[in-house]
Amino acid sequence: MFEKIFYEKDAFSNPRTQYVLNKFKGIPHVEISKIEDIFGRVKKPYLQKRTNLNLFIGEKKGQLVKETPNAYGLSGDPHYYFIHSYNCIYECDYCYLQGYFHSPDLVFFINHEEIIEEMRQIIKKNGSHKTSWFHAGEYSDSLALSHITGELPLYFDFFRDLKSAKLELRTKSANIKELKSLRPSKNIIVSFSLSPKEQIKDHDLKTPPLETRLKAMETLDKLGHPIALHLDPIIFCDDFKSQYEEMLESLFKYISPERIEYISLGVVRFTKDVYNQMKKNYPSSKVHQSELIKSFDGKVRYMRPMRLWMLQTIKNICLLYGVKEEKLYLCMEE
Amino acid sequence: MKLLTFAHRAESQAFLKNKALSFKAKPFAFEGFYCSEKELALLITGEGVQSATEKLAAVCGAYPEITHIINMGVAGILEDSPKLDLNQIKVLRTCYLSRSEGMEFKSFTTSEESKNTFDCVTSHKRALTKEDSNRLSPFAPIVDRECWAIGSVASRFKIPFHAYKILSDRVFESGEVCQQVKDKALFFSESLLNYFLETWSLEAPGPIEAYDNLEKMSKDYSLHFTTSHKRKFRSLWNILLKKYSNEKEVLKKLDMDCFKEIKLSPKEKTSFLLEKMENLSTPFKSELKVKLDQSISPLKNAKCLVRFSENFEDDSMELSLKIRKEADLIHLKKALEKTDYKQIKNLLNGIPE
Ligand code: SF4
Repeated sequence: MFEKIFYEKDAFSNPRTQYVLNKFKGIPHVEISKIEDIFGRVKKPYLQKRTNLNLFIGEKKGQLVKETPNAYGLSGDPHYYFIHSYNCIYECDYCYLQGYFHSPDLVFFINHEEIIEEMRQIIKKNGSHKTSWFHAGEYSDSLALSHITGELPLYFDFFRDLKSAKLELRTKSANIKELKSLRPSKNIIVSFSLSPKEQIKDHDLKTPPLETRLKAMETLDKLGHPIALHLDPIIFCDDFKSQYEEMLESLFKYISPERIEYISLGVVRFTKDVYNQMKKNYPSSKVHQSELIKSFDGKVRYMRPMRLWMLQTIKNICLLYGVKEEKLYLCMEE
Repeated sequence: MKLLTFAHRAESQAFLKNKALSFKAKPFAFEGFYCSEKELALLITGEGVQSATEKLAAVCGAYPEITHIINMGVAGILEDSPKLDLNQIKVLRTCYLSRSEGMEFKSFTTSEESKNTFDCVTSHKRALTKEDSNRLSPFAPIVDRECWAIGSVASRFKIPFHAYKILSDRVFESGEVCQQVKDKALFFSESLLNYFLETWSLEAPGPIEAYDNLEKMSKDYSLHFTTSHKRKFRSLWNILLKKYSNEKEVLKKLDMDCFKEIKLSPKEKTSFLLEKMENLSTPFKSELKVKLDQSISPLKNAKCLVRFSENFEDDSMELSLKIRKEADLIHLKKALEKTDYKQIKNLLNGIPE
C-alpha cells in the first residue's frame, strides 16, 4: 500500500504511530523532524499515488478545527471541520484534493486529543442553545482507513454525552469494521456519499461499488448508528434521471427514508485550478463531456437552469419515496 | 529529430564512436554538439543545472525540428533498496531539484508511460556522502546533476523528454566514488548505447496516417463542408468520441443512415448534421433552447428581440423592439398576452415538467 512511512521524531513514541508502524513492518520507516520539511516541499504529481504512495505521521500544528464554508451542511447551526488527515486512498476523478495539496501522499495526524480540546472550546463558546456541527473528511475519507488510524473510539467517547454538538463522519468507503465495535450515539452521524452505480464506475475510481456501500449502510443502521446521505457531486449524463431513480430505489430497499437523518444534494463544480488538474490527470473523464461551462465567478459548473433542474429532479424522486422535505438540503452554491 | 543529451563526453563516448550512428561535430556557439544522418543529434551539456540549461535551451531554440529530448548518463543510488543495484539502467519519471538553499518546488515529469520508473533528484552539488543521501532520499531514490534542467528546458519548449540513467555508485556508502566512476566510463557508455538502440527506433517517423472521418463522411453521405463547418465538425466529433465509446456508436447515435435519404442539398445536410452533433454533445442546453424558442415564439413573431442572461445565470429576459407605428404596439400587446411567462420562468429555474 505504501512505499515508505515517514514519521516525525516527536511522534515516534505515540501509541498511534507505533500501531501504524507495526502494521506496516515490511516497508522502510524514515524518521524526519517535521512533516512539512518533505510533504508538499516539492510538486509530486498527483497520479503517482498509483505507484508510489508515501505515508506521513505527525502532529498537526496551528488551527485544528475550522469554520466550514457557507454552503455546508444543514443551515442555521454553526458548522466546523477538523483536520485529522490529508489525502485519500481513493481516486475520484473530480476530487478537489488533486488541486489542493502538492502531493498525493497520505498524512495521518495523531494529536486527536488536541483536536478534541479545540472542539470543547468551540462548543463552550457557542453555548447550549446552538448545535455545533463537526465534520470529518474535508481533506480525506473519514472511514476508509479508520481501522489503521484508530481514532474513532476517542471521538465517540467525547461526543457521546454532548447535547449541543454533532459529529459527522463522511465517507465513500464501506469500511465499518471500527464502527461496528462502537456503541452508537445519536449525535454521531455516518454520512455516505453515493452516486448511481454507472457513475461510481466512471468517476469514483477505486471506491467500493454502490451495493457494498449500501450494505454497509444497512448494517450500521441496524446497529443503531444514525445515517445520512450526500448525493454530491451530481454529474449529468444522458440517462441521468433513470440512473438516479434506480439508485434511490435500491437505496430505499436497504434503509427506509425515515431512518435517514438528512440528504444533501450538490451538483459537481470546480475551481479553475482543480478543473485544470483534472483535465491533466483524467483527460478522458466523462465529466468533460457533460456540458460544463466557465461560470460567472470563474468556477466550472453547469449552467444555472441545468444545475437547478438536476437538483430538483433528484429532490422530487426523494419526495416520491417519502423523504420529508425538511430532511433534504440542496447545496445551491450560488 | 531526437536529441540525446549527456553531461560528459565520457558518458557519450560509445555513441560518438558508433559507426552506424556516425555522429559528426556540428559547428555551433559552443563545442559538444553533434548530428547524425539518422535524425539524431547529441549534445554534451556539461555538468550541473546552469550549464545544461544554457546549452540545451540554445540548441532547442536553433533546432525547432527536435521532437524528443533523451537525457542519458550516470546517476547515484540514494537508498539501500532491492529495486536499485549498481550497473542497472533505470527509466526516470519525475525530476526534483535540490538547490543550496533547499528543495525547489517545481518538478518535471518525463513522457514515460512505463510503470517501472524511478524519481530522480538533481543536486546542485555532487552527492558523495551519507549526509547527502539522507537529505535527498526522502524526495527520490536516485540522484544526478542535470536531469531537472533538461526537463525544465523540454517543458519550456514543449518537447517530450525521457531520461535513462545507469546506476554508478551508492551515495549512502560514501567512498572514492569519482575515480571509480571514471574508470568504468566506457562500460557505462556502452551499456547506455545498447539500451538506447534496443529502446528507440532509429527509423525516421513516417507520415502519420490520419483517418479522416470528414473525407469519408463527405463521400458516404454526400455532404459538403465549408472551412468553418470542418472546424466545427472536428471539435464536435472529438467531444462525441469521448462521450461515446467508439466511432460506430457515435454514427449510430447520429442516425447517419437517415442522411442517405433526406432530400436536402449537401450544404444543408451538413448544417443539419452539425446541429445533430451539437444536440448530442450538449443535450440539456439544446433542449432548453428549443423549449425557450417555442415559449418566446409569439414575441419573435412580433419582431421582438429576446435576450437572456449569459449562460442563463439569472432568470431575467430582455426584450427590445422598435415601435414605428401603432400596429407594432398592438402586435406586441397580443404577443405579450400569448407569452406564457410562467413557463419561461420555470425553464430558466430548472423546474422539472
Ligand atoms: S473519496 Fe473523497 S477524498 Fe477520496 S478521492 Fe474520492 S472525493 Fe477525494
